[in-house]
Amino acid sequence: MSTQANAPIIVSTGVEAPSEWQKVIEGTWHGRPSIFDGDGVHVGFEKVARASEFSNGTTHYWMNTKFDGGGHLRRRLELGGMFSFGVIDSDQNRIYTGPDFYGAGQPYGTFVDSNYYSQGWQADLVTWNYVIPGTDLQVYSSVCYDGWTPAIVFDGLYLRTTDHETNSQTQERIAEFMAEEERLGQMTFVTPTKQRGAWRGSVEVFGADQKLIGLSDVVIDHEPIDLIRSRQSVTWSGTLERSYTFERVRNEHKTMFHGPDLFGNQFAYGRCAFTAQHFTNEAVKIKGREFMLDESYRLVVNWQVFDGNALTHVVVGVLDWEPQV
Amino acid sequence: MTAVSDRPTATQTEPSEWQKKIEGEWHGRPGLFDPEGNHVGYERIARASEVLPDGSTVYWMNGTLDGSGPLRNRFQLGADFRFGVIDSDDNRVYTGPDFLGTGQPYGLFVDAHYYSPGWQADLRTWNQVLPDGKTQVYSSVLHDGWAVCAVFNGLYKVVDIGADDTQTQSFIDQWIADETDRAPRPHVLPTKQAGRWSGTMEVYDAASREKMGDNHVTIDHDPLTLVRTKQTITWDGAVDRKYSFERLRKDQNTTYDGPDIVGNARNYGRALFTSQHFTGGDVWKLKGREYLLDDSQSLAVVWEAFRGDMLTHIHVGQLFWEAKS
Repeated sequence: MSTQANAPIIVSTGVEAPSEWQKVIEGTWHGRPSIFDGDGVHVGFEKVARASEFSNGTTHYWMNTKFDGGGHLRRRLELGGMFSFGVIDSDQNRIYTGPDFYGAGQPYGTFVDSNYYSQGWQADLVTWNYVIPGTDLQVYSSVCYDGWTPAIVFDGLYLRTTDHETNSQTQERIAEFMAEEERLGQMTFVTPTKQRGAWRGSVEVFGADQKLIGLSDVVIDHEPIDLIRSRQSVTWSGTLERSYTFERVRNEHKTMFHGPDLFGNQFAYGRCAFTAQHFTNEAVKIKGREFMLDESYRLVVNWQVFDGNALTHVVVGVLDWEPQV
Repeated sequence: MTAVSDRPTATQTEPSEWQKKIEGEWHGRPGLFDPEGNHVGYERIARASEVLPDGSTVYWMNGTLDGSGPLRNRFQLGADFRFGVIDSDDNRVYTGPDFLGTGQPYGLFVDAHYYSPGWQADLRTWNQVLPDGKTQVYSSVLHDGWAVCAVFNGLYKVVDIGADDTQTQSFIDQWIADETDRAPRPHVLPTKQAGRWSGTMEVYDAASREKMGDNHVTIDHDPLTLVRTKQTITWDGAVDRKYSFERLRKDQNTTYDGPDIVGNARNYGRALFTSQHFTGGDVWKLKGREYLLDDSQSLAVVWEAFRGDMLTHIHVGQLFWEAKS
């Protein structure tokens, strides 16, 4: 007889092959996400190794987490056992069957939007994971809610390994990665204040049916007005086309978008900004995450586009910063 | 002309169905809450949305703040709210300058999402007109990006015309006094009395915004301890479902701990904002507002049902409490 309580609830799909998403996230992922309180204050770090293992139609997710610091949030996050739960693997709806996480995630290419409840943390989590195509890097955030109110945010990068247990070089690489993540995790999302330039890149555009529609080229022209205000002109061309200009004003970790073509605001937890943007005089809005990877200002964008209340497109990609010469 | 004008936009000659439902002047005194759920003040509001002779729609809102502690600085305005609306039963678009964004009507309920430059906030406003046609259940959740910075909520009453001005004024004065008393009351359900809420909820299809039909809904309520309760909810009609769960209240936070749903909620006074995930490999979730109206324990309920990422149904209705004898 097992002496274990609250063991993972494993459901078999009967499908022998893993989903495309499951293949994207194969391996063990190592991260040192920063922890922020609801006001955006950095309060500590998590150290995580996690993997999602597929075998004969069943998927088991485990996550080993340790905390450093955490301030007043530490007591909420402390657990009496490691995360270990079942997943119904799918490219449509990945369902977490508990007992640690209950809910579901929807993959769009290498991006997944998941929403689930964690009883141990008493939190409703919205987790966005984006594997940068062609790399072993995953851009991660979890916003942990009390009802509708964010209480805790984790964010950071994860790096994948396949031989961490046996290869000392891999272990060294992970140790360096973690140290860099500790340094970068305490940055605040700030755009250049004295340098004009542009972010450019190609983004993937998915429909609400989670299928790739095509690509768009995105350019964000950036022109500082003073040390807190800048004007940005954004152009999408390709699968989705749009161009819009707005002024942004920063106050600490908060930024406001003050038209003329777009209004809204954003709130950053370290490098990771969460946006709400409304296009003027139409029913289209964007709910997004913009993640500043490092001092190169390289920007990872994940935008959910809504027509009224309906999600219509998911736009994801990496934009590189080029100062104007 | 030196005024920063509103921007009414002429659209149609006949007002929309929603516009007809909210005709008249509505009076309320919503409570103001900080993100933690503490009651910190009031807003006294008279507002109306008026169709001008040329067919354009203007919304005005005159408000004064009482108390409100640290949030007072944020919400003080230099002029009353006044802005244009593109009236429609499809997307009501707020064209600024005070509010920019949209609202989607579903029968007696509207879900609006817009940015207010004066308050520097992204607002999610839910207005539910009760079947009496005279009471509106109002809440606005104000955001910095994805973070909540404040919540307003309360009941509005459309002016009942008395025999003379004095009678009309005394009707309004009494309503405002009652709402002042009720606003700070937290959403706490009976702890020593078993019973049942029941009533009719309308069900709308999110994509078409058409009404699908009615559900007869019952919530069987069975207190286990002074903070734990077992509830069984049954939907019968347009969409059938039956689920049971234990709910645990800790101050302003409630958790739903299965077996059939897990999730959590936070109340801001009488308004409880919920997030609930169905278990057992089910991809559905509910995001809702449950409003404890007054001492009658009647609940005004709005549930938005999502299949994965997709908003699919909106359930709206009023449920009436009956103690078990």
